[in-house]
Amino acid sequence: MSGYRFSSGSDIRSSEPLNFRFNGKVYQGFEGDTLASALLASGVRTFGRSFKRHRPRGVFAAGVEETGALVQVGEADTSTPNARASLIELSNGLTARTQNHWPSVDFDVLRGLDLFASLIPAGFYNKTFMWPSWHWYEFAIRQTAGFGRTPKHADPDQYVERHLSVDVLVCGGGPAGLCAARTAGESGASVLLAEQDVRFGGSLNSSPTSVQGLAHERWVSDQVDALSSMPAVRTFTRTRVSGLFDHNMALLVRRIAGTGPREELIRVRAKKIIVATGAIEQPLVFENNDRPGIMLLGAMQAYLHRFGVISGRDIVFAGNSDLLYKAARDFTKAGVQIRAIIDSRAHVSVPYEDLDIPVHLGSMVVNTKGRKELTAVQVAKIENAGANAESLTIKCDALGVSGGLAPCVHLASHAKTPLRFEESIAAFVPEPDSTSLDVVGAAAGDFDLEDTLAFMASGDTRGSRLAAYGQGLGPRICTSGNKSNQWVDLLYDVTVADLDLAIAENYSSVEHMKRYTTSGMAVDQGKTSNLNALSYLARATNRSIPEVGVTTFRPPYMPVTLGTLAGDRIRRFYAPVRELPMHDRHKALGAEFDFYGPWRRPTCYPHPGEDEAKALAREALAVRSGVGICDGSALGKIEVRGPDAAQFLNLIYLNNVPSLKVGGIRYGLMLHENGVVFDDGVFCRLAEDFFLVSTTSANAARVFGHMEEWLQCERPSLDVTLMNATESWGNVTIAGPKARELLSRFEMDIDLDGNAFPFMTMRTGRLEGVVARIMRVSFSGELCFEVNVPSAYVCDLWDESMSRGEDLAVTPYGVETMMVLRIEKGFLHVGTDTDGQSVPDDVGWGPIASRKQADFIGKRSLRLPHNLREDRLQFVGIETLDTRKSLTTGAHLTNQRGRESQGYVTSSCFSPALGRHVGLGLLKGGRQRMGDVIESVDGGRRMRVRVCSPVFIDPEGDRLRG
Amino acid sequence: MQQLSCPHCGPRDEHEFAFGGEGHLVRPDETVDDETWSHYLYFRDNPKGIHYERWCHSFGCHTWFHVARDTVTHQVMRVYGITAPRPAENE
Repeated sequence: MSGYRFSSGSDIRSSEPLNFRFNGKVYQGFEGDTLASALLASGVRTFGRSFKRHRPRGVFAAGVEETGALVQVGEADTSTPNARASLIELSNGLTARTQNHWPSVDFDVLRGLDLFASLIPAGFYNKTFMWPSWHWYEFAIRQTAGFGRTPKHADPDQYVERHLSVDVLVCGGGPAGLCAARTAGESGASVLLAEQDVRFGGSLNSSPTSVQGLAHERWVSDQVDALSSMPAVRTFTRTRVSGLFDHNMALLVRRIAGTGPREELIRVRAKKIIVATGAIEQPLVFENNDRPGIMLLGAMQAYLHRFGVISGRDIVFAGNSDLLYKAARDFTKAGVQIRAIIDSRAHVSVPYEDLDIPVHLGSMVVNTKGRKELTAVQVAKIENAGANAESLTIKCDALGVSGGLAPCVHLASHAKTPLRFEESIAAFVPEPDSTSLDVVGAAAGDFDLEDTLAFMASGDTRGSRLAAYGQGLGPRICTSGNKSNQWVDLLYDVTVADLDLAIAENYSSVEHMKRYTTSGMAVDQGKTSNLNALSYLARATNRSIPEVGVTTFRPPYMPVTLGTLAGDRIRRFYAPVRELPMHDRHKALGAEFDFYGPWRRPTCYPHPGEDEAKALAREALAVRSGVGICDGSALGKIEVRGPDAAQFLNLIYLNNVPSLKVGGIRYGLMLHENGVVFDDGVFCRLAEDFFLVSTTSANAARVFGHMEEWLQCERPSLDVTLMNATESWGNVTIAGPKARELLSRFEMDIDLDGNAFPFMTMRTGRLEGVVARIMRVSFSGELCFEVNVPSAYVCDLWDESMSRGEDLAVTPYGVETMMVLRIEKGFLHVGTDTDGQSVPDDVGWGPIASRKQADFIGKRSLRLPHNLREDRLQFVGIETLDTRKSLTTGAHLTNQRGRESQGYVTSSCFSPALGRHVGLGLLKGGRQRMGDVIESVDGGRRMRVRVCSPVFIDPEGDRLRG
Repeated sequence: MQQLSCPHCGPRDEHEFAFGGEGHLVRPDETVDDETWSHYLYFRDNPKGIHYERWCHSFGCHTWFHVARDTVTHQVMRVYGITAPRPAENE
């Protein structure tokens, strides 16, 4: 025996020692240890400071229900806060630190908080830091609260994800889970068995017994061997089922040992889910029940059997069931003498005399002693446990507590399985009401193993729940003494006094009590606190536990690293980036890029030494005076075909569609059914039964979806086919007075002459042998040809346009330049110059809308009273009185010295053609206010502006018709 | 995450679908009064229990279809075509 390492446990390989650091000090453990077991073996008792009161805390459990030994593990950016020491597999060179103290875990300044415990009850912050505002105090308070430290930089670790679909998912690889998986596997079903521990066996690993006549190791390995011989069965260890969701979806998190990805997220869809998550031992409530050295009884057994570690030299057991004697026998057999057993029951039917251990029946621990760690317990008879109780002091440095087992109902509860309070075990059991979920073994409250296995094999009656308890359960809450030091929720520092306060203030509904005291709200979701809290609530309010009810257990069952949830959907994989077919060309030309909807497009192409403003001015002037080319490939292109195509589009567009001639183009607005303008663009008729709809770049998918919905849901009888051809066609837009000259240098069968190919028409043909659709539309106000060719050829078209136009000084221009050109021309940009309430009349389309006879989407809504008001926001131009001043997009518009917003500036730019700033905006009753001088307000800065026509350049439109 | 069965592609995860709101709304004629039209635009059922709704397999085949689904348990009672009439409660 060295230190507290008593023997070699079943999990550790004592031939392989490992060195690790804890709070900077080097310790030694063995392969197979957890951080908790290795430190316990080295005599470490204090593992951190508690959440609110900074009390020293030690290891409390041997698994997921740990409340005390939460540590910061790892270094720098890979470190993880709040890791449970009982779940950290030891490795060579591992580093870990205690949390929530300053300057050290042994001397913590904020320990002083504990002395004022009565001053910081539940609701303290809510009641105290009210004036003038919680936000004044929040930062300082948050500094003192919380446990570990979040790494400052991005997580360098890698995480992976996969999706699986199985017939049966078994959650938990203890005896019941193994049995369920084997039964399912033998029936031929595809099975996934997930066990959170490093090996299968569950409770058998920490409390060895014989199973079906075999030694437990043999029985477990038989089951695992049988499972691994079935090809449709997968078994995962180190894999916890973190949550169950709708329609039998489970989220699994698998730890991956060694190098490579750290964790794997597995989304499983199962036809059937079997919950075999076992039971969690409940603690006892008494004064100072939080001292390091106090541990769940089952955890003591786990450390003994799995790691050969005993948690003290002088061990006392306290509890309320026969589990005490089973454990005592276990320890005695291993050669560890227990100092005393304290049983809250007055009568016990199991024999214990042969154990030669003093047994105190009808007694409870009423208090503990010790400065940092446990040194003694005080025991009193229950009937005497009043204020001046006669108590007996028993010296000890370890106390195993057991309040009986409670089925681990968390996963079943995630799946909305009803819970029923079962008196015989004083705990809630799930009662599945669906055939797609079953709960087996201890998770269902069936604590007798042989009985459970027999039941699972036969499929008939359930076993007796009392089997593991003998005489049933004694009380587990002792409230004599100072209630401020009787912990119910160890993780969030919630005491009986807090519960009393909640009840006194009438937060006596279990849901209110939970939120007011935070009991059960910590990351452990109340694994060891919920039952005691609501038992106490029931008793204090004279209700039964079923009347009090239970709060909802929510996913995750265990905290999940954000990196695991993000998986590889980070950085450039966070969202797909859509780049134009000519992206490389733009890059080579020195373009600046930005996102427009899903597309990454060039904003402009600054020359060396140019800033954005200079580049925009140069490119815009080139288009106005010479020729520019722009990559318009992102424009939405939806093909609408079929005998009823015109009729269908007549419903979609506010404009009259059937009257459009083949080869013709019309500019149109699309509305939502509420009358609000939703997209604009041109549509052209390629044939009687074939239209091409051009949408704004950002809206292509939405418009396509909108058309699909109306076609399929509202007009299913129409013979129309829709195809989103946006990516199939690339577009080079050639604009400027010399556009025709440049385009005529290509060999094609299309006559470019203004009379043969007028504005707002479209021609299809062959350009250098490639099929081309050329549209004479203009978003710049200049003569313009939008040349569409299959995407595969569009780069050639771009390159050739650049080289054949060299003598014309052809200038590539970006999206921001295009915006300057369209603002100068007063062309509407839906979504920029309209808001979520703009109807056609607001943007000058009232007359066209009211002339159309046929029904269209949104038509009826245009006659609703609110859409007819005179003071609606209307589309206008805005110019500054002082031509040197600039307008800010988003600035509010008011009357002179007015305080009420009358609208706002929606677009603005410096117009290189006019040499001053111009803008567009939405203004109340704006069309009636042309020429009025009003003010723009931008961050308090007021400036006089004039309302004007939105068309600043070429109002007659001679240039674009050219 | 829910699982819906697209009539064309079969069972898929919810995130492949777009929710289209209440199904079987009848678009009134444009001659109706303002109140009737507003009711069609803005008023929706919000039942505790079976909801007849429409969905689109928007990250798949783009098929629109109807789903009868329990808003409490999320159990899908029935998936049926977009032009099919609303089934009776007991169907």
